[in-house]
Amino acid sequence: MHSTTANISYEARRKSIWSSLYSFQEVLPGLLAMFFIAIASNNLAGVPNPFNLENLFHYLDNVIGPVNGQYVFQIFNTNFVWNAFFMGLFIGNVFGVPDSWKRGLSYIHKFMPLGIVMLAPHFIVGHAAKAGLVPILIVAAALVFTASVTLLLARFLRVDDRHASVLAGGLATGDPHVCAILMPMIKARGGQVINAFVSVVLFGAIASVVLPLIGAKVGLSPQAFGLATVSAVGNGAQAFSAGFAHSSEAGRFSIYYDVVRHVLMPAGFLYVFGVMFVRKLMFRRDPAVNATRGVDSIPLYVIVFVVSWIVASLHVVKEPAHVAIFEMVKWDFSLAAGALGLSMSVREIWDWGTWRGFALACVSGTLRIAFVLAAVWLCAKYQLFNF
Amino acid sequence: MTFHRNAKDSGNGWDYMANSGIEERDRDYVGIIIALAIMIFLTVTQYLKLY
Repeated sequence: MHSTTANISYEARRKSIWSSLYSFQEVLPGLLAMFFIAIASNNLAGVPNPFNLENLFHYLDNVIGPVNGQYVFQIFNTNFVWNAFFMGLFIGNVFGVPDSWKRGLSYIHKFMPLGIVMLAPHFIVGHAAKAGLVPILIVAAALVFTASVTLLLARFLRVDDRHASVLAGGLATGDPHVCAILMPMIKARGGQVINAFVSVVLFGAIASVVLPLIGAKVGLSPQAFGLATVSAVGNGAQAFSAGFAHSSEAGRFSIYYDVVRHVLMPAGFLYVFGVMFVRKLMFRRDPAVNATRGVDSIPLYVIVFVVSWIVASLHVVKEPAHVAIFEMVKWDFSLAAGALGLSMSVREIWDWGTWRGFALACVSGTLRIAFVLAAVWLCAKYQLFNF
Repeated sequence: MTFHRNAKDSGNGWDYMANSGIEERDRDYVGIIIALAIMIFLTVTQYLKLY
C-alpha cells in the first residue's frame, strides 16, 4: 500500500472536505475491486453483464420452481445489497484483501450516506393513502410495537444494543435492508448487521409458513389476512408467500397492502435511531450503552434524508427520475456491500451470538404476529375497515 | 503484494472500516453533496424533458 500516505493522519493531510476523496492513485485499486464485485453480483444500469449472481439465482429459481407463487431466492431476500455482500465475503475469506485496496474500500463511508439520501424518492407516503386510514394505522402501530419490544427484550437476552438496534429496524420494517441502513447511524459492527439480517430473513421464512396456519384458525377474510401478512411477516416475497398460502385472493391483497409497509419503512429506522440516540444521551456513562456512541448529534445525512423524503412525498421527483435515482441507489449499495463483505471474516458474523439474534427475532416476531392478528381481528369485528 | 484474510488485520495498521472524527464528517458531507447533485440533476433534466 502507499505506506507514506497511509501512515499520515487524515487531519495532517486535510485541506478541505474533498480531501476525504484521497488521491486517484490511492483509491483506484479498491474502487475497481468494488466495481467488479458489484457487476459480478447484480444487473446494474449501464453494464449489461449477464454472468452475475443475480441472474444465477434467477436461473436457479426457475429450476426449483415457485413456492406459493414466489421465487425461493426472493423469499430468502437475495437482492442488490446481499448479492454483492456475499460475493465480497467469499472473495475476502478465500483470497484475502490486499492493503492497496483499502483506501478505495473506505469509500463505503461515503457510499452509505449517499445511498441513504438517494433512497428518499423511493418512499412516496401518498401511495399508502389508497389503503385507507385503518390499515395505515395498523402497519404503523405494528412497526412501533415490534421495534420497541425488540429493543426491550434485547436486555433480557443479553444482546448487544447495537445488534438489537439493527435487528429491531429490520424486523419492524419488514425489510432487512434496514439492518444495513442503520449500520452507520447506530455505529453497529458489520458482523452484527449480517447476523441481524440472517435472523430477520430466517424468522420471516418461518413466519410465512406458520401465519397461514394460524390465519385459518382465526377465520380472517382474505382481505384482512392479506393486510396481516404485510405487517406480521413483511420482507416482500415472504409476505406474498404467506398470503398465497392462505388463498389466491389473500395473496393479491398482500401485494396491494405491501405499499403501506414499504412507504413507512423510513419511519422504522428513524424511530430506532431516535430511541437509541436519546437513550445514549440519557445514559452516556453506562458502559453497556454502545448504540450511537460516537454519534454526537443527529447526522446531517439523516436530516437531509428526512427533508428529501418530505420533498419527494410532494411528488417533486416524478416517475422517470425516481426510477433513474433508484438505479443509482442500486449501484451505490452494491459497491458499499462489496466493501462490507470484504471487511469481515465469516466468524465475525457469529461472534455476536449465533443464537441470540435469532432467538430475539423469534420472540419479538411471535409477539408481533399476536399483536397484528389481534388488531386486524378487532378492526374486522367492529367494521373499522373500509371494506 | 500482501493479502490479509480479514480486511482489518492490516499490515500497516490502517482499518478501512474505522470512521470517526473530522474524517467521518467530511465523508458524510461528500456523500450528501454527491447524492443531492445526482438527484437534482436527474430531476431537473426530467423537468426540462431531456428524457
